[in-house]
Amino acid sequence: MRGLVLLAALVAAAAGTETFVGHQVLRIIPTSDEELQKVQELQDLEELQLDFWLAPRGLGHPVDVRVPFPSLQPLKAHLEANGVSYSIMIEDVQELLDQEQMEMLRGRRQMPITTNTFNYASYHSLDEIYTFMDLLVAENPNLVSKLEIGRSTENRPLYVLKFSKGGTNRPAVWIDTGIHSREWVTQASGVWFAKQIVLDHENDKDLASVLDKMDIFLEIVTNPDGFAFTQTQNRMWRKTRSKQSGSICVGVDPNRNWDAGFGGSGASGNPCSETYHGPYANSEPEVKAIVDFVKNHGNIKAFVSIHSYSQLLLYPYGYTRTPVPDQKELHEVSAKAVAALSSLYGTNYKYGSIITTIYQASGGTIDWTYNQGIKYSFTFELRDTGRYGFLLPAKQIVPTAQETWLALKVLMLHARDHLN
Amino acid sequence: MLNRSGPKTQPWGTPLLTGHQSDLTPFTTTLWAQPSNHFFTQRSVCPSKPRAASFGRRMLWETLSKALLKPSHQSISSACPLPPLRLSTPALPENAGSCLATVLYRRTKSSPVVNIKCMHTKDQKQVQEEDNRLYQKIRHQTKPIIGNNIPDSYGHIEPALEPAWALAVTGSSYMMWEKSTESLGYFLAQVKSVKQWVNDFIEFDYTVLLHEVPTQEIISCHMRLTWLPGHPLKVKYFCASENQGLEDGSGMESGSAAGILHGKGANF
Repeated sequence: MRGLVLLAALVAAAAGTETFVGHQVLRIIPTSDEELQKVQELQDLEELQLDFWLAPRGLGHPVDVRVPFPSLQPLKAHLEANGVSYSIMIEDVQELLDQEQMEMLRGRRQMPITTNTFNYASYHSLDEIYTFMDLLVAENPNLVSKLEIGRSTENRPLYVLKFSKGGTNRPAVWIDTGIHSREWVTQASGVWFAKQIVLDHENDKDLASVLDKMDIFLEIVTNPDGFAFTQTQNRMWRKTRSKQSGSICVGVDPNRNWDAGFGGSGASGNPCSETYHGPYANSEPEVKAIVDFVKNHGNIKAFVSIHSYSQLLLYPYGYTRTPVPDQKELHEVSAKAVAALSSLYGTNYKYGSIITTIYQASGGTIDWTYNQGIKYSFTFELRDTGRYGFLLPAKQIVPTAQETWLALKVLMLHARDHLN
Repeated sequence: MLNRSGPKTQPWGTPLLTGHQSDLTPFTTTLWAQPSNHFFTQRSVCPSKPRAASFGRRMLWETLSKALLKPSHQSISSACPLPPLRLSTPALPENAGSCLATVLYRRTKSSPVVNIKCMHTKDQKQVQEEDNRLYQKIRHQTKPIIGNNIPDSYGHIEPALEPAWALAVTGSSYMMWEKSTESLGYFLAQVKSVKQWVNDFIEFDYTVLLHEVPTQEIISCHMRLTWLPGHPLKVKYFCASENQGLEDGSGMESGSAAGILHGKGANF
């Protein structure tokens, strides 16, 4: 009941017709007939403009009344003079309304209590994604754990989720999303993948067979500084947020900062450029953290770095036209993965090496990982092909993640079937 | 038919006009969709259909009004048989026709030669009527259209702003055509602001953000767009020569952004 009235008040307030500044809500519990009568008489005092949220019902039943500011003094004096005790339930009605309005606006982004109430079909803040990770781990402690592999330039933790059914240092698949912060559908898809692994790890025979032999590492927000920046300052931010000496410009392109053809054609030496490779390879802590992780782990068999947009599946190289030795196999696996992806909604993907399919790019992630011996190194460019680009409508998040997951499973299965 | 030298570029938005305006007059009031729009490619995704030649793109044309009367552009639909687990599929936007464009870059520095062939699937009279309806709809609004961030960060477009957005897509495509080279391509990243001028025309001032590839830069452009049904769309624009600085993309402060629109007008 109170909720309804409060809502009505909120609506009225929002419509600008009334304000409740200084109004209080008093609670009176009549414990005698005299008290009850006195309270009932109050209802007749129209000039006080009292608003009974809970009308007098009988002895022992609370009476709640909203009292406009001008009537507070006279009413309280009246009650005290008649020995009717009261308590102040709400000190300032307007304050409460303001608070509730704020919460209502924040409503759809409210912190979920479980990963089942999390809204996968919307974009989330960094905090919400980090909360999601903790929830997922808490709900599935036997499958999921969270690792911190380093810290960003602005000292944000770099978290990786590990999905494992046991063993020690099993061969592993690595997936990262959000290395370029403006590519929001990728972080959102990463969140979906995490949940999907948990949902399917027993009943999906393909996934189960992968997890029987391999671990999956998933870094959802690979560039958290950039991501925070896209939320607060500039939706189109791509790079990291590191300061560059000798320049007022900020940030390094994390997909030009790897030690593979570093500094060559396909990256810029200008700190103000969106493809600035940085002062030296692995200068960015976000990149260095992954490099260290991969080297220390020593047993990563498949590495997938996810971007948007363009609808492409790419394998190395980007920095040189020389084909990789495993070109034929990678091309065939890509064909299968793309076919699986398309099978769901008919989304059209092209595939091939980076340099022949998209453009020359040096210092890229999967060129480095391939040269480390991780044969199955792939990059995705997710939806769309330019209509919305980076600003992909939220309702496309789940379909994008669903179809991409089918392709990922093809890649993971292939890696699993070719372990040696 | 088509010769591209230099590094292979990815299939981003590329010039789609002939050099001859007369070829375009029948279509001056229509809006064309971005090439390879994913839900348009639904049409050609059935395995049996051959893909168009590598550079000729299938182009699907829409009237402006059709773009707006359609409830949702985010819908996905396909004519192919698909696995049973599917989302519900609202209808595809209707098209006024489809076009195939070829772009020939020659080794000399001149602009590319573009040839375009279109097939109408819609009656031109019907197209005209739809355009007129759109015109009336915009003109009879009580307040001039003003908006920011279209789509917003979450990809959402206010329904009331869809007409202005659709016009921006059209006008921007002209800008992008002019700016594109063999090694530089563009997409419309976002309409940063729109402001309507109230007069007999449909006239808008826009700030649009273009996504440039492969540089990945975000270029800010100011665009003045004028439209009357039955007349060519007029576009005047001015793009910042460097990044605007902290506002868009990662560039530094630029002094060149001050913008009086000049020159670069076009009727199409």
